[in-house]
Amino acid sequence: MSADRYNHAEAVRRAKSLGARLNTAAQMAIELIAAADLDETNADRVVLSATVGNPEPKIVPLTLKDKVLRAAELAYSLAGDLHLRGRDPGDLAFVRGVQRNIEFVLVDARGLLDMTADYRAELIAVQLQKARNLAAELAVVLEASSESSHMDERRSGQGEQIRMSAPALGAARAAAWLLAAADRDRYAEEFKAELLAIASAGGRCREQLACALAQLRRAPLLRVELREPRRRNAAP
Amino acid sequence: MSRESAPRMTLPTQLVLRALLAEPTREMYGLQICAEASLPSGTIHPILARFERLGWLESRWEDVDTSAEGRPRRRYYQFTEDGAERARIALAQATTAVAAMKLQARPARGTA
Repeated sequence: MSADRYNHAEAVRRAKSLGARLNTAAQMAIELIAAADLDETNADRVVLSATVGNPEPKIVPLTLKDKVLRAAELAYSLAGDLHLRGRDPGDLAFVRGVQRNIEFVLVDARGLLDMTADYRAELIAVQLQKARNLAAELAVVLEASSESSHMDERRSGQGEQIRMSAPALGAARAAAWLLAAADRDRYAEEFKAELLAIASAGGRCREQLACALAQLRRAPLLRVELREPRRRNAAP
Repeated sequence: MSRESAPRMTLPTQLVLRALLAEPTREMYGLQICAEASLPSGTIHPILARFERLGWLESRWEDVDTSAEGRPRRRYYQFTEDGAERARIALAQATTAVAAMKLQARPARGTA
């Protein structure tokens, strides 16, 4: 019990620290963009990911500025979430879900930031790397604690047991949190319904978590899509 | 920068459209669309939101008693009146553009 409490408090402390570092990194990314040193034309890159056995290279156009903005926006939102959670440290699973997603995002961000020679980008990369290291430490602490809180059992209307993954629910909740306030309730319900559908179909914790992390990773893009004005409504 | 009237037709976008166009009048929820499009679950919400914004799709909540069912409502998506036709046109144009790109990219054969 006391060990759990220690781990819990430690996890929250580290989560807060991670949030602060991500905030710093995001702020630097914003400054980088504001400095407008990035020539947007030059920043448009084309990545050719040709691999052995894949005769047709996959062409992925990337706009560095957009990607940095996306990383910054996500970092801000995650930092905010972690800060909120720090006040109410009752959901380790939530923090664990967020932490895993941070890992993915930061790996992507690091790769993108390596593409520019701007020295500020290097500083950002260093900050992001520190945040990533911290996230890895956080993972160790979280994995060691409260394994029993991993699964949440629920009962369906038909009486059969459905096992919902608590980390997946947490990540889905985080995904909804990344959206504008007006859209949160709708997508929180929609995301949760998807997880429940997976669980009802016998989907295991890992499958639910994969779905929830996909929701979380695409939340910033969804937010952008929802922000755009509706064309149909603009017409009389 | 002006935005084009049709969405960017990425591969997932095309897959989602094809899945929806298989039965244009059928209502489907997100997970169903993912399965039909062979895309990982949880990946298509930005695409669906884009189509809703363009007026190609409309969505509604499932009409169920959530407490009786013991689960949250699903969100069902369906083409609007002219949405399917507009989607078909965009898909055809995208397919044509890809074919043209492939032709351009193919090196000439039989020359030194």
